Amino acid sequence: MTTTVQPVPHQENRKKREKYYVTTLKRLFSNKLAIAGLVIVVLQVLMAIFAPLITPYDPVAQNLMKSELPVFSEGHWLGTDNYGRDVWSRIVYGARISLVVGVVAVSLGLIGGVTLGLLGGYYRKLDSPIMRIVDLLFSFPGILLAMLIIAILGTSLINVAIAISIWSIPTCARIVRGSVLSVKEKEYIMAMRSMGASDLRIMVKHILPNITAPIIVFATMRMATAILSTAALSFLGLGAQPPTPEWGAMISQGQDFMWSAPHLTIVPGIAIMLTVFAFNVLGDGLRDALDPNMNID
Amino acid sequence: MFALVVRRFFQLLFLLLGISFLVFSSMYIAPGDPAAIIAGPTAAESDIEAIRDNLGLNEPFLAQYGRYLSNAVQGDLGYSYQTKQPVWEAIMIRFPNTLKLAIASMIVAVIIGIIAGLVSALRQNSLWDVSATTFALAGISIPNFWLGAVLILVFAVNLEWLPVGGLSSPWYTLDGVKELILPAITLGTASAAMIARMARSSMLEVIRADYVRTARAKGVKEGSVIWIHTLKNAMIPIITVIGLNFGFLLGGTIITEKVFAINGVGRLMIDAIAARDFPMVQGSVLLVAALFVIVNLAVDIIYTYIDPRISYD
Repeated sequence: MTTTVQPVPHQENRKKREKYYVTTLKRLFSNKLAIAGLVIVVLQVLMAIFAPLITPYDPVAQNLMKSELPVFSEGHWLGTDNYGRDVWSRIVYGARISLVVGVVAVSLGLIGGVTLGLLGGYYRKLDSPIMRIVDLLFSFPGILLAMLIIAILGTSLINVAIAISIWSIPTCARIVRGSVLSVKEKEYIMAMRSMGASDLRIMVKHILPNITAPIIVFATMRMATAILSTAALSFLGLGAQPPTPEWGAMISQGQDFMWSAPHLTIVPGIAIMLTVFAFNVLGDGLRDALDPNMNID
Repeated sequence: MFALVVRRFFQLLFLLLGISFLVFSSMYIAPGDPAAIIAGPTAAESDIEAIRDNLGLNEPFLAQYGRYLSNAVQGDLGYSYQTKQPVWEAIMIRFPNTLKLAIASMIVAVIIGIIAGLVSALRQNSLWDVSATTFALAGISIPNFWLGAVLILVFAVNLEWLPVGGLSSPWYTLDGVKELILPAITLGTASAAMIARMARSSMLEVIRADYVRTARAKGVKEGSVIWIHTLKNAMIPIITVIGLNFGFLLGGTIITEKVFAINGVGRLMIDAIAARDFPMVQGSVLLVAALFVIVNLAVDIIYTYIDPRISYD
């Protein structure tokens, strides 16, 4: 006995999907600014992964004989700080901290935001209470909400990541809810429902894969905000504590030596700016590439 | 219009109630016994218990919240654990500095943002456009605490043109204005960048509209086309961004106050968080969040005035 497999619809779907990915990549690679952003992000990730291999010194090892060396000094091309710590090594390890905190914060924010957005968009009864909570979270300026959370949890980098993730939830929930509302009335969702598919299956298997574009764009843009906010909170003394080589904390410590060693302030600032710029332009590029009509600003 | 204002006002009351509940419950669940913090590390358990009774901390959560709310409405936000000063008084002493900074930054942001956006749209693809677009991209990527430090280094430390920090002179004096310049640029740059982006895209959209072409075809002078026919319509999304940015600026004052050693609500809040002075954190967060939602309400009402097609029904 043989079974007849009809591959045509699946093949067509696969071809369509492949065409979509190719078009998206073509659009992305035609945007020079987005490519610049992508290159910087990739370099940062490589720097973060291979930090021990590309840094000549321990980022927290002090050498008071060599304190406050200027940039392009022998053996310390970005100079040293007031404790004689190598600035390049601290910048590279700082990239690791910023990226890890950013990824944790954005991932937690996505879990919360996507869940709330899916539930709110799919179940009409849950929509109003969820959106009121979202409105309430929106009524705090982001940094204030983060500070309120840190006031409860205490000052540390993990708490900064949690605070930034909670701050990300309302925006993510609104974006996802809007997308779910437009997708859930589509014919294929109705078809799945009439075939008896469970709500969970419809949400996870059929709605979620169709709303990934705005989520990807949100996540990329949010990485920029998360890195900037981590640095800002550490600058305020609410995040990384000395001697952790975090960029915001480095600027805060460098401010006391602005006259004698301005590079201690300028170098970490440029590192933050480049990273935030890279994620912003990459996010912009992805938005245009994934859907030229989409606007989540 | 009146109905809208009334409806939004009631929505605002509910939102304020929600904010106060969230802020109060956040501090309620925060670790640490307020009575023990007030009594100090060497206090006897009986003294701590007496303070707890006195503050009503043994009462149920909702009773405590109810009392906090009724006191807050009367301007009583409790006493600082650290300085024993009334929270309301401590905030009000510093609030003018925060407001001054936020307004000055808004002025900087609106002037730079709209001019950059307009020039960019009117001279599309020119050097002006490229410069303005680059500024807009850089502006949202620059950490403002870093920009502040660099501005201090250049204009206060090296050139000695402007003071390093502080806001002690009245704003209408030359010294007062000088003190505000660097903090306002520091805080206003990111908002200027966002306003410039919105102004550019909004102007480009309106400038291509049919009625603008008609106006030009009728021989209306270019100045009138820009200032009378296009700007009002282009302003609608720009005002949205300006309104949203005012809230953003209120939050941003926290960082700028720290950079320029300004004695404002933001610095008060940072010190209070570090010292776990919960009534002070509660009070300052409540005030800034309340101001934020009130500004948003004002922006909503301004929309309907500028564009009568907008309805919140």
